[in-house]
Amino acid sequence: MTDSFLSTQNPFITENEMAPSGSNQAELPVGEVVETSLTGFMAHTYKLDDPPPFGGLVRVKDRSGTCEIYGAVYHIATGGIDPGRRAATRGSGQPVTNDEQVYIDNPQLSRLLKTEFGVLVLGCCKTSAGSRQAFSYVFPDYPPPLHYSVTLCSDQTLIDFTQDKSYLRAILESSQAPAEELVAALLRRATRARGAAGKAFLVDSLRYLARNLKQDYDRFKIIVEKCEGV
Amino acid sequence: MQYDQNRRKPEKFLGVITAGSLAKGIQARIRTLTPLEKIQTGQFIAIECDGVRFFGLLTDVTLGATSDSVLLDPPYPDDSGSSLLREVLHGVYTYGDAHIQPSLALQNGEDQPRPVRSVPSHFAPVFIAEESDFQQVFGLENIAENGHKFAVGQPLDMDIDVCLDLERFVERSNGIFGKSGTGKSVLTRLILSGLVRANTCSNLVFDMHNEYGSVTKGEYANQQIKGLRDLFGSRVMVYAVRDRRPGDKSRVEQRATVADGDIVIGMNHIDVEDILLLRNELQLNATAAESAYILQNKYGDRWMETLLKMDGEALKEFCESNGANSNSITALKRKLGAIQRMPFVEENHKSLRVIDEMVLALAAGRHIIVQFGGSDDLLSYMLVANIITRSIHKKYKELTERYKRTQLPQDEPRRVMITIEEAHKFLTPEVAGQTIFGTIAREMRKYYVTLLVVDQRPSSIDSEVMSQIGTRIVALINDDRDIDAVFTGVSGSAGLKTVLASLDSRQQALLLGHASPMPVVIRTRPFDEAFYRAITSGQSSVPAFIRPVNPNGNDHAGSDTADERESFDDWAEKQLEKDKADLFG
Ligand SMILES: Nc1ncnc2c1ncn2[C@@H]1O[C@H](COP(=O)(O)OP(=O)(O)O)[C@@H](O)[C@H]1O
Ligand SMILES: [Mg+2]
Repeated sequence: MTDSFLSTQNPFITENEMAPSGSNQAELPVGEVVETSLTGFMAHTYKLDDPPPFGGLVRVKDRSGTCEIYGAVYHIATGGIDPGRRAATRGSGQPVTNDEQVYIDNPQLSRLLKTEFGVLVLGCCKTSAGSRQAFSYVFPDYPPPLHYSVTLCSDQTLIDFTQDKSYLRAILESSQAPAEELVAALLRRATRARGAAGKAFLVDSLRYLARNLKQDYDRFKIIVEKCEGV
Repeated sequence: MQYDQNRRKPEKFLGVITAGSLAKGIQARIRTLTPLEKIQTGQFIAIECDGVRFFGLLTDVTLGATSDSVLLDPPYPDDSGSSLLREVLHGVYTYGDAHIQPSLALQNGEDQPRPVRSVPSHFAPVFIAEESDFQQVFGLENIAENGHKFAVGQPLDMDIDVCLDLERFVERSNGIFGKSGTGKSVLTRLILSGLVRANTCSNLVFDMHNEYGSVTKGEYANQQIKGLRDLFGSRVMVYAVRDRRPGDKSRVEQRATVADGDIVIGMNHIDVEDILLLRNELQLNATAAESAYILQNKYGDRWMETLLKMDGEALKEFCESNGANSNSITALKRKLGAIQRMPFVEENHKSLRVIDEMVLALAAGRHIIVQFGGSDDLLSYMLVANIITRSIHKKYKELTERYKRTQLPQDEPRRVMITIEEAHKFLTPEVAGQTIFGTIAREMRKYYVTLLVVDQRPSSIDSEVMSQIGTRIVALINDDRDIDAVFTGVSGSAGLKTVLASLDSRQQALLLGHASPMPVVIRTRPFDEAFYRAITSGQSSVPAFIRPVNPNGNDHAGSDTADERESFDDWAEKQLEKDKADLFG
């Protein structure tokens, strides 16, 4: 783990540098469930500062192994392992040319710090013999089990999952997530993943949202503005 | 007839029914993705419900918004993100409502749509009609196969025929309305061509502007519009109202016009009724009219001749002994002088043989155009049209009564439709109650004579007459009173008014009434070479109508003896049989 922490990238940079499509083909585990509930769960990353991106679609298997639980990343934080203790300054205060140098100078940091991320559950999907059936945009029967691995979905899965727009309503209704930001982030990702077909998808999705936000034009307008210029 | 998803093209889907009533029309929420600017009013609409298919006309599109906040803070073109916002708002926050006037319903299992008596239920899908809908409602043209469906034009956005049912058309009086230059006369020519070709009825056309008989110049570059005589040969006869007296060169030229006969009218055939019709044109007051009646009571059909011959002394005497107003009689005499001077009026012309002959030709199945030399002389036009129509009506009344007695199929009179331009002159509220045209319009089909009124000022036509009009073909009209008049007695006219206002200024018309299953907007069929070919193809030529030869060698003038009269009637009977055989085989 230590030897690869240098490759850690800022999640927000990841999002902006991603190529329009096809860059996220493999589905790799990115963390482990550390706190769980039916509506959402918290996970720790395997590598420090290597969480799935905000608005990224992730999945966890349930205990029976026949159901995958899907959710969107709505929270990412890095802090001390010990909840009572904050990180203290490590640098010298002199002008620095490379902020990463501090991790090289203090290799123990990767063991003292952890990165956690929160996932909002949006739906689930039965699997049989390793292949997925249709997504259903309801809560799973059981929450994801603790210590199960969390996998970041490929672009193709993201495209499939967002084909039906029902997941958007779950986000709008959630109390823990910053709903407008999360909707916009997810839509931006799903739009980019579609390449040329993205614009039509975005318009369709926003219309779906509009239908659900008929009484709240101001909120809807905020989301549209955040989706502009993907 | 469940709504079949596969039958209709998805791009024809317009929306779903959301509100409305039969009386006020129904409303459909327009589907999200159809840009409103692509949806034109006047389109033919089909609505699919369980077991019923409704047909209607798109009369209006209104803009709506679900929330005021959108309208209070609309996306302006220079706001960032406004184009995306506008795009996604459309169809949800902002939307269009289509207003539809339903007219017909086709029940499951039936093949003829019937007038609508119900409304489609909520959320029934609404479509822009396709070709098959037009065929179902309007049928296919079949006059070349001896049918009575005649293609008068095409819908605005499709290349498919809209057909008029000519048989139903001639069952009632009809009207063609529109501003000057919108194509009324060409459209009339088109419909008359259909009627002649389909042999639906005999036509008598009072051709004020000299355009129905032979070729005229159109307003498009190098456009030559053929006349009915050019197209149908001797099926169509032309009678001229012209100066037959020998005289200067212009008269000689006038005489050269092709004509099967000349109209001559004896003063003894001019009725007070004819003069009353001209009251406005002659500027006669009510007392003068009264005096005319006094004269007629006293002198019978020689009233006019007698009056015109009276000198001052005789006038005075007449007034004193009959209690007439001498001023108004003098005025009447002066005004009648204008009629006396008309070239086709003769002093004492006993029989109206030329008119009898016309009646005969019409009864035999010919068509007649009465030409007025294009001099736009309203006075002679009205006088002649009225006198001829009066005779025809009288004759047809007899024929109809005979048919009622005998009930023999061969006695059933041949239907006649009389086309009059400037119809409002004959049908103003002041005169429609008394004139023959008003009578025909009101009696409708009873005596086998109906009218085709062609007019640009329908508001001047008596509303009782307007309400009797069966089929209306309306080109662009701007005047509000005229628009209101056109829709007298039409239900659901509010929507149709907006459609009418959106017509092009030429060669487009709204078709509604008896002969059109439902109101529809058409681009009028071009009256061109292709049409000439289509309408005349497969038509046999017909020998000319043989007119009786007067023993004294003079065709129309002169007096008939009772003997001659009888031999004419005999001859007429035989000629009628022969001519019918010629025409109908
Ligand atoms: N169906 C048509 N086919 C060809 N030309 C037409 C047609 N309708 C109208 N026009 C053109 O429009 C002009 C005016 O039409 P017209 O019937 O004389 O108008 P209106 O009688 O209403 O004053 C014609 O001279 C002709 O050029
Ligand atoms: Mg005209």
